[in-house]
Amino acid sequence: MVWVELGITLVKIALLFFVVLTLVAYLTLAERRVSAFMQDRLGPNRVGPFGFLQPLADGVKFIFKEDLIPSHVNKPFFIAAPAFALVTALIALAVVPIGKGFETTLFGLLSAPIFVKLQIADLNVGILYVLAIGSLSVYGVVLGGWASNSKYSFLGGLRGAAQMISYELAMGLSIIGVIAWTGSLRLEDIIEAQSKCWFAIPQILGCIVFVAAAFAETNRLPFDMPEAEPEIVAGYHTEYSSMKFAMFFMAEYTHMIVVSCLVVALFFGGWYPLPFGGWFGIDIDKYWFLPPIVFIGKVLAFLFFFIWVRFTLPRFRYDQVMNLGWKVLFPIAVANLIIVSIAILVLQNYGYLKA
Amino acid sequence: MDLSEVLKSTLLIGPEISLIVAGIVLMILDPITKGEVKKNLFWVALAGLALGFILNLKRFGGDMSAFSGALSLDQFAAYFNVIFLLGAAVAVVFSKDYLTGFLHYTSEFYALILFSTSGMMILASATEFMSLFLGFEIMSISAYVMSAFNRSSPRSTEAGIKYLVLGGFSSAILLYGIALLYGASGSIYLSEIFKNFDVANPLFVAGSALVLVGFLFKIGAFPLHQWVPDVYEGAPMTATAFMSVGVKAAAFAILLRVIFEGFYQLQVSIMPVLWIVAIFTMIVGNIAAITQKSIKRMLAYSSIAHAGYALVGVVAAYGGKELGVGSVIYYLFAYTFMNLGAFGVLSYLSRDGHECETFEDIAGLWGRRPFLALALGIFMFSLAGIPPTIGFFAKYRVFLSAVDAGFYWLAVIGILSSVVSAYYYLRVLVYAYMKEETAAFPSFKIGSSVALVVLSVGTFFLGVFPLDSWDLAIKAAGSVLMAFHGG
Amino acid sequence: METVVFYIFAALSVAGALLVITYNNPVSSAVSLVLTLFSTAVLFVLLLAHFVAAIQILVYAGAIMILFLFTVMFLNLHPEALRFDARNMAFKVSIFLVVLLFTGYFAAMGFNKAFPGGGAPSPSPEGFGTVEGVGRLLFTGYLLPFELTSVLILAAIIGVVAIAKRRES
Repeated sequence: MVWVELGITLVKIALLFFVVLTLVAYLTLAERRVSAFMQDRLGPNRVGPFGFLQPLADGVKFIFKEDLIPSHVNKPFFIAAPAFALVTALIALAVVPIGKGFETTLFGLLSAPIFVKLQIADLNVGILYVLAIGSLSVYGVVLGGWASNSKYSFLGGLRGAAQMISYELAMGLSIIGVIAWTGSLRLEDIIEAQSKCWFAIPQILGCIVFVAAAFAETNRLPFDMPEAEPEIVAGYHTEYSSMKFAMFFMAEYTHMIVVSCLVVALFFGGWYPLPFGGWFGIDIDKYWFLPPIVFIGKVLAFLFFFIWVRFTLPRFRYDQVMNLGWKVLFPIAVANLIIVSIAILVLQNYGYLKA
Repeated sequence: MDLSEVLKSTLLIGPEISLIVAGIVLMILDPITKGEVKKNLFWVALAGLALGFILNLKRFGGDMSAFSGALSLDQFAAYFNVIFLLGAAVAVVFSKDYLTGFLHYTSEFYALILFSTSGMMILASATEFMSLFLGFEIMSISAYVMSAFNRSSPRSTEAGIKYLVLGGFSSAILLYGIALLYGASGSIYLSEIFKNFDVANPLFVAGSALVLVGFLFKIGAFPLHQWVPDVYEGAPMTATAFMSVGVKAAAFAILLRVIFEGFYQLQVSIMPVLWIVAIFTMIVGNIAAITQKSIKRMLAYSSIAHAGYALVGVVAAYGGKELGVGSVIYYLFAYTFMNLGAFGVLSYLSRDGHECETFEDIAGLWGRRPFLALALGIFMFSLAGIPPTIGFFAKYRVFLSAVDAGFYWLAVIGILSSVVSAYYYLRVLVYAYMKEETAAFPSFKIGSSVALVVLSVGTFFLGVFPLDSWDLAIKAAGSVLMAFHGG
Repeated sequence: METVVFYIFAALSVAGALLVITYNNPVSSAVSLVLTLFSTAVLFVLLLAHFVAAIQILVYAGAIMILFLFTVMFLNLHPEALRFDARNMAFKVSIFLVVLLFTGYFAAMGFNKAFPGGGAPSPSPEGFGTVEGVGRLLFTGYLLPFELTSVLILAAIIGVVAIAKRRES
């Protein structure tokens, strides 16, 4: 039985890797196509129908390019940094539940049916795990910037460290409202608590702070301080080329997927399709494949939102980013926490919420 | 621990809370006030200290404990709190005149004094290692910052860095000791450690040794005294005054509490160590003080020597019980008056951008500022231990308790080194009374004058008429020694 | 299984700690410390203290060590400035003293008594290491230290701002 569970987990891990990396590849395509659409261009549409094979071509190109390691870099850290960035982004997905799960006998191979969760690891501190792993992702940027031993990379690394630490605070604080409401750190419990109403509605402030902080954590525009193409060439990955550069690139997109999953799970009801009313009586234990579809659909919508914002909003200046993080988002997150705490007390008093 | 007990405990630590609240109020008022009002914000600090003092008086009534035994609000702590509050109040008053001269951010300085004092008060009453360590750190970190407060002076910055790095090491050592003790006894409460103490268990021995090292560092005792002169010399004058009195007294308070309430079983090992440390501290402090050219640095070495005298009392406490502990407490009380006074005169004489620290700076003081010279004379006589000042009676009681407990050699060495110390203290007076003036003296400062009058009157009369101070010290000693008297 | 994991990560954390003090490059030292912190977090997981483990990574590895790295990188230290002189007299004396201490210690205590403890571990109390358990303890038994920590941090913040802020004049 232990071996079966181990095998199932391994299959889930392999599946996750495959899906996420494919999604990452197609995100790059989506980004280019969407930006082209917004700027009234065509974008890559030559390789395959609608350019669908473009990511494949890009991948082949990246692998076969010369892997350049400049002579002035700190070699061990220079090599380790992109791996660190990608690994931390990938393993954060381990606790994200995309659905409840289903019972199976593996086509009759097992005598008793076992319950397969649609999640790799069910941690009782799931959300903290994601935040902890997310906080480690700074190392990729910082070490990459430092090991490159060039001014632009170094500036990018420093900016990345400052920005990500600052926004981690606002991010952590904005979800405390959710945790207090749910009384649990397990992501599944948090999603279940939203069966009647998405947290985005009562905790709109927290939601806004979280989404803004999510943009900063992924180093996406309008908070792309570590890269800042107009100012410091390409920031922390200026000196990188070939597959190492691609790994940084993949890390960024994987990170986008992680935070999209988090936004969906924490504020937008996870696998509950509408803000109110849950599943309207549909038995999701029987139709177990419905929740994952809803969840993934929402994640894709948020990924589109990420791309949309990138090509809509202007960039912030560095000091503006810092001011926004510390003087605006942080106090808003505190305000959200206070409001939510009062709301919880009131609701518990009238019996709408379990004490 | 339920809610009602939390509330009760919170009310009991009123003195500490009033200081912290005063510090926070200061930091709120500072940015929203301007001009004259801002200059007079030190009244907020004084009000907080006064409130703390009044609330603290209640603790002399009887021994209480708060937060399920984490704090022991006994007379021992109450007596030390008087020392801290007195030191803090006087330091605030001196700072009011001293800081406006050459430092900005005076409100922050007052707030740090308040926080540091609250840390000392926690430290003096802590009977649980976690609160103890936090009190220790609140006190220390504020003191680090205060030493480095004069940013335009490289020496002040150096003092801050040195104090921070070395103090950080000592905190780490203390923490490691606490970890070992916790590992050995399974508890962070002194009473539990006392109950489970096993002299044969190396974890207990190593743990208590490391904890002692942490405290002896803050005291500035012999092998760990090197930071004292540099830090005391570089730090702003009033910060030095406050640290030399408050931090030292707090470290002694916790040292006494821990060795008598926590690891009394280890007395066979600790006593000889403290014996040697006390002797070397006295000798090293006094001999080094003789050769100094700066009064400030001389006072720093003298403070090492005084720590040595107080350690004599700690050693004596192992034999003479109440008398020993009481003499240490009383010694620190006396030291507060005379040392604050000595530094107070120096800070009085400091002017914009120039600290009064060399012997030349005070030459001819008698001719121009006779009352100041008189006060300086009283403090120096007291520091040297010349009757009828408080310094004499304090030293007398310490050495008496040593003799009483059978430590004759300790008393003899103490008296001899104290005779040596008279040389450098009186040298200050030679300059103040017999030399021609070489520098101009600053004009009259009202606040500092009042404080100096209080201190010099206290130094002069409390020696002859100790009022309740001696009896209370003996009672305070009784409350910390209860652990093994009561079983 | 658990024993194997324990030994692997215990060894890793010790190795990381050793690397911290043996590397010349401060950035390498800092990263080694991250390794130690991470391995310790795994040990916490083995003790079923998931919350503590997550906080360990989130706070120490994710925030404090980053600030360390940040500062170290700003200092831009040259390796020559950091070279440790093993022929230093003080170093030799301290090595000698450490050896003396340990031999004296084992001679005095004997090997059996030198490693006390052992025996079956006591069972964890209910709610051990969970968020609820830690939270309940923080707000009841350890309320005072918890609140004192905030005073400590406040004092430190005021101090840092007072020292580091740009002054007009």
